[in-house]
Amino acid sequence: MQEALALSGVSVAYRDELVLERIDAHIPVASMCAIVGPNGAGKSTLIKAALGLVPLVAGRVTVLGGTMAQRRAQVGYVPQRESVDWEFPISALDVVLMGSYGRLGLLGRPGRTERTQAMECLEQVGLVAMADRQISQLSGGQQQRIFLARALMQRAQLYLMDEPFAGVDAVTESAIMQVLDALRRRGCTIVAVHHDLSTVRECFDHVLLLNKRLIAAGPVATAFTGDAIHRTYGGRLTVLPDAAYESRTASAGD
Amino acid sequence: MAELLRLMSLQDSSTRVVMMSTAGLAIAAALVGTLAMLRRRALVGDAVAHASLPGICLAWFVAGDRSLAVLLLGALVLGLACMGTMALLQRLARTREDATTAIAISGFFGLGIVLSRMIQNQPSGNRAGLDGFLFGKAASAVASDAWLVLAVAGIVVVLVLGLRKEFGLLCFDRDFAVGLGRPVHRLDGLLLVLVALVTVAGLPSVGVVLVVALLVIPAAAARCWSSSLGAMLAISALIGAASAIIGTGLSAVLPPPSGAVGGGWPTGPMIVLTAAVLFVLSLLLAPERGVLIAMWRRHRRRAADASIVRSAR
Repeated sequence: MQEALALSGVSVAYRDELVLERIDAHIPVASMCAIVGPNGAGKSTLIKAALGLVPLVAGRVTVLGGTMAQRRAQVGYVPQRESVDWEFPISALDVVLMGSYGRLGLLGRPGRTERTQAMECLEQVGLVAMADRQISQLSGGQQQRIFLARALMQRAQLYLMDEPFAGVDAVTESAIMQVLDALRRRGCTIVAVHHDLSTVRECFDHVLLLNKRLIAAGPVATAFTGDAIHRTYGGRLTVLPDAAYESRTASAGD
Repeated sequence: MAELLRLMSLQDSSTRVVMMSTAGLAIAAALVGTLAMLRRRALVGDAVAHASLPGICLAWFVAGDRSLAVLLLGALVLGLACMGTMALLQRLARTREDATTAIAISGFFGLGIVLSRMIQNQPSGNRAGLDGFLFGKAASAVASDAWLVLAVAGIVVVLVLGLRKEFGLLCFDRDFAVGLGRPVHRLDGLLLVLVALVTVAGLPSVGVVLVVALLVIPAAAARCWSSSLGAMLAISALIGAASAIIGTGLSAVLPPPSGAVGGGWPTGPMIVLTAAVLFVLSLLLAPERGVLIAMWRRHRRRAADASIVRSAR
C-alpha cells in the first residue's frame, strides 16, 4: 500500500526547545487521519513541518513517494482560521481563486476557467451566494468553509488541514464532513488536526495521538484506545470523551 | 489665479516635468505602501528614510561627485543596510520588531546628523544641499533629476502591477503561499527593495522626515473606501497623485508667509498635509467604514429602540 504521508524521525525545535521529538508516522493513501493531542502537543507544528513551513531539526518527510518540493502541486492546505487577517480587502471568490495560483505562473492571472472552477468549489461548501462578499462579512463557520473551498481549488491528492472544525456549529461540521467524505471516495487522503475526541471514531479511520512524541498511531479501531488517550492527555483529561466507547472496551475486556 | 491656471495647465515645461515626477513618485509610493501596510511593514519605509541620510553623506564623502543619482545610490545602499541590520537584530538579539525599528531609525539618523555636521564644517560643505534632503525641495528640482525619479517610479509601478497577484497572496496568507511553492522569500525581499526604492526616490521632493507619509497615508485612506486589493491599489494611487499635484500647486501659488526670508511654502510638507486632509476626509466620509456613517447608524438604532420602548408602554 502506497503512503500518502510518511514521517521518519521528524524533530522540530522552536528556539532551543524541542516541540516534536522523533516522530515516525505512516499515513496510507485514501485514509482520513485525525491528529489529536492536548494544547501545545505540536499538532499544528506537525502539519507545518510536513509542509516545510517550519524547518526540521532532524528527520525526513515523504509525500506520495517523493519530497514535498516535488509533490507540492498535489498537496492542499487548510491553515488555521486565526492565521490570517479577515479584515483584508478581498472577496470570498478571490480567496478561493488563490487555490489556483499554483497552476498559474508568476505573471499569470486567473481567467474564466478558474472563475468557473472556483464557483464549483464554493458550491461544494454551500457558499455560492457569498462569492462577492468581503471576507470580514462572513461568519466564522463560513470563513472556515472558504478555506476548505480554496483547498478544493488546489485539486490535490493529499490535504493537510489545521483544525478545519474549529469554532463551527454542528450544521457546518456535518457540511464539512460531507465534503471530506467525497474527497476520500475519490481516493484523496485527508490529515486533519482535530480537537473533539468524541467525534474521532465516527469521522476518521486513522488517528495519530501526539504529545510532543508520538503516543500511538494507526487505524482508529486499534490505536484510539482509552489507554492511549490517557497517556496522551495525562491526568489533565478528567472526563473521557466517549463514555459509550469506554464502557464497551470495559465489557469487551471482561 | 492666473499663476494657478498657468501651473495647473502645465504650460511651463520645467514645472510640468517636476510635477509629473512628483505625481509619478507619489503613485509608486502609494502602490508599494498599500502592499507594505497589508504586509505590516509600513514602518520599514521610515527606517530606510532615516538611514538614507548617512548614505547621502557617505556618498558625498566618497564619490566627490555631487549628482543626485550618486547621492541617492548612497541612500539606497545604507537603506538596504539598515534593513539588514533590523533583520539581524531580530534574529540574533531576539528583539521585537517595533524595538529593532526604533533602534535602526534613531541609530542611523544619529549617524547621519553627525556626518552632515562634518560636511558643513568643511570649506566646500554645502549646507543648503543637505538640508534639502531633510525636508525636501521639489520646487527647485531640475529636469534631469525629475526624469531620474520618474524612471524609478515607473519601474516600481510596473513591478507592483505585474506581480500584484503574488504580492496579494503573500500579504494575505504567507503560509498558504509557501504551501503552494511560491517564491515567498524572494517576493518578500523584492517588496522591501521596492519600499527602499520609492523611499529614496522620494527624498529630493519630500525629504527624510516626511517621505514615509507618501507610503502610509494614501494606503490608509484607500483602505476606508475599498473592499478588494485592486480597488485599494487604484484608490491609493489616485489619492497619492492628487496629494502631489495639489500640494505642489499650493506651495507654488500661495503668497509667501509674511516676513518670509527663505522663500515660499515648502513643497514636501504641503504634499503631506494635503494627503493628511484627504485621509481625514476618507475616515469621515467612507460609505461603509466611515465614522459619520457609523454615528448615523448608531443614532438610528437608538431612535428605533426608543420608539419600541415608547410603544411598549
